[in-house]
Amino acid sequence: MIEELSLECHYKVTFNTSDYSYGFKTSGGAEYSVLFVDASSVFFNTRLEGSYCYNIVISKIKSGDGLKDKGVKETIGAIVDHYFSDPERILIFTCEEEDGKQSVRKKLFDMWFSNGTLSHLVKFNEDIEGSEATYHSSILFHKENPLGISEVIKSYQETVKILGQTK
Amino acid sequence: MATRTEHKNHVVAAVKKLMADKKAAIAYSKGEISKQELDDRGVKLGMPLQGNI
Repeated sequence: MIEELSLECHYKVTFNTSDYSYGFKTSGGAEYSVLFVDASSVFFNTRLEGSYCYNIVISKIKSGDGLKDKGVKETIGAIVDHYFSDPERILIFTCEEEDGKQSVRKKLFDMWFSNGTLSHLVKFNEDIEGSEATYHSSILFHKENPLGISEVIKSYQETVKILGQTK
Repeated sequence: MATRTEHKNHVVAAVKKLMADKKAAIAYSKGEISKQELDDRGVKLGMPLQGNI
């Protein structure tokens, strides 16, 4: 079932109750889908183990007129803000580099989340040094996360460090 | 408490799955695969909303 949400943002956001996805259409004709994929097992053996951790997946499922649209940033910000209605939740974001556009994605993600309305969230970036490539990753969490800012970051860094040791 | 090796192996496996799940989620959102196929790949989508919609 598709429901319309009353988020305070530029574009009308819908919510699909069958897959928990958010969607919106821009005035330029683009369509976006935002999904949250379970990522709770990543923080195994850290203080974040068992927490509500998801990987945010933002897809442009239909291209629009190609013009810059500030409404997209504002709308994604509202969706993320909605996600953090529970301050215990954690979001991670990863940039894949298969098509060589990893840095572009990172820049886009950083731009989306340099949002004044998300000042209650903490964003922390860390590159994962894999055996074949370096992956950009970020963690986003609420300042009121019960674990505390430093513990969340510490768990994240521990995990990233472990991955770097796989070279 | 997991040994260092167990910890590393678990995290590596979890991140690989995370990357694979993300690709599958993108394919699903673009209509390239069905929800059933997403489920069959073990991709768990979250989360139930809390509070007022």
